[in-house]
Amino acid sequence: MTTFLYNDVRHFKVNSILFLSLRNYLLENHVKTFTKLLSIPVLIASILSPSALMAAEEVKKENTENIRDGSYFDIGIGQGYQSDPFIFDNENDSGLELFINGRYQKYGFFVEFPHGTSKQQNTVLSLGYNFLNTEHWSYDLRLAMNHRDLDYKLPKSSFVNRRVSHSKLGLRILGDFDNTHLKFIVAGASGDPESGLYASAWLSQNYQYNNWNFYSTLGIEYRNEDVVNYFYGISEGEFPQANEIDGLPSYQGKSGFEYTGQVGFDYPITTDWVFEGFIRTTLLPSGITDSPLVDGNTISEAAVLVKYVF
Amino acid sequence: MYFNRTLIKNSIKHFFVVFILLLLSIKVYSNETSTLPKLTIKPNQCVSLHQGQQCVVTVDISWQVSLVGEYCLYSSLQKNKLDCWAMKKSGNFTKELVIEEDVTFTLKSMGDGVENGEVIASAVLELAWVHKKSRLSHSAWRVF
Repeated sequence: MTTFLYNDVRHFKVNSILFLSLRNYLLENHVKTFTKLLSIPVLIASILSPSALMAAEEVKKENTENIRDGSYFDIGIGQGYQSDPFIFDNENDSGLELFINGRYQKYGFFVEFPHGTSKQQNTVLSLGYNFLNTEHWSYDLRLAMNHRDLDYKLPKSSFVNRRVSHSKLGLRILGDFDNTHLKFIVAGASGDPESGLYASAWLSQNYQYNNWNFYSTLGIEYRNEDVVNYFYGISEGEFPQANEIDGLPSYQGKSGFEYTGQVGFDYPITTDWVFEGFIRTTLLPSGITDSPLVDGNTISEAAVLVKYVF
Repeated sequence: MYFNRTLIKNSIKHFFVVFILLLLSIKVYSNETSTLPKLTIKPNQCVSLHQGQQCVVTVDISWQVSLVGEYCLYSSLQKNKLDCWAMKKSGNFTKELVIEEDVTFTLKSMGDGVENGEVIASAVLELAWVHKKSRLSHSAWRVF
């Protein structure tokens, strides 16, 4: 009984610290963006799960411990292929690649290291709080990057123009229906001149043939003008005068939708080892492809790997 | 700066290649026994990706006893015998199975007047998985 009370008090304290931190964060930096963000997830949540609060109460009664508490870690290595239209950014190359997925959650607080075969690899690390779980839906407040860093390196002068992506607060909703999985994200993102807005919706369907597991995933991502401008815009005099960028005009980005399709497979070799592969194509919006820093509208990726599941 | 980042990334990659090769070399399986009677199944485990999924396996069963006689092979999947052998002291059987739980194979000696036979050897085909089944699982999250 004493232990139970102690855990409750400790849990309450940790919750209090989190909410105070969030409040300060919002007040100081992102009131405007968050107001916009908050209206969208509330709408999504009310449409998707009208009985969410009732169901959540039932779940809480069943078990005081968060049902997603636990840990997951896998590490794999394989041969990857990537083709992207970012002329001066050489971050992703084809060749030997590491794939690491890690997640740890306790009392609803989680830390994630998502660097596997999914599209959600824009963030180095994400931190968050899983504040609500219903029978099929899980709701997370999360601090994460929603675009990867871009390093535009000019080949002759070696001048580097870095677009650093920052972690921003957002809401993530995960849906789990046997072989169908859904994900919705509404979040902030690094932007220019103000913090930007990012939203995405993902649908994944699993299939089984013998012991082979196949999946197909469709995703749509939205980035507003500020985000596109931050990563793909060019302001006057931003780059030093160098031969390779002579004639590059300044560019102002505009908002757009990015579409992603992915198919892949998993085959269990043993209870610890899995053989995995995927092919993914992403279509970029014109707001990005019109940038002088981009030459094309498609990102293609593929990999085969073996991974160890701990 | 760029050179250093590339160097660090390559070093990490090489470290993990060695690490994974080490992990691969850790598991060594050995289930050989030499005593009779002997009932051996290969593989002795069927692995699915997720707990609760059906698992498909082609199992090779071999048996060996010290006395010639009539022997029948049974499994926990069905009431009827899988196969029988007369005047033999060894045999083989191969079958593709779709399993949802552990399967026990038994070799029975079918003597004169014995209807169900006497169990003289048994072996278990274990159903195993990589990801434990759980609601809102980590493996589901991994898909994205």
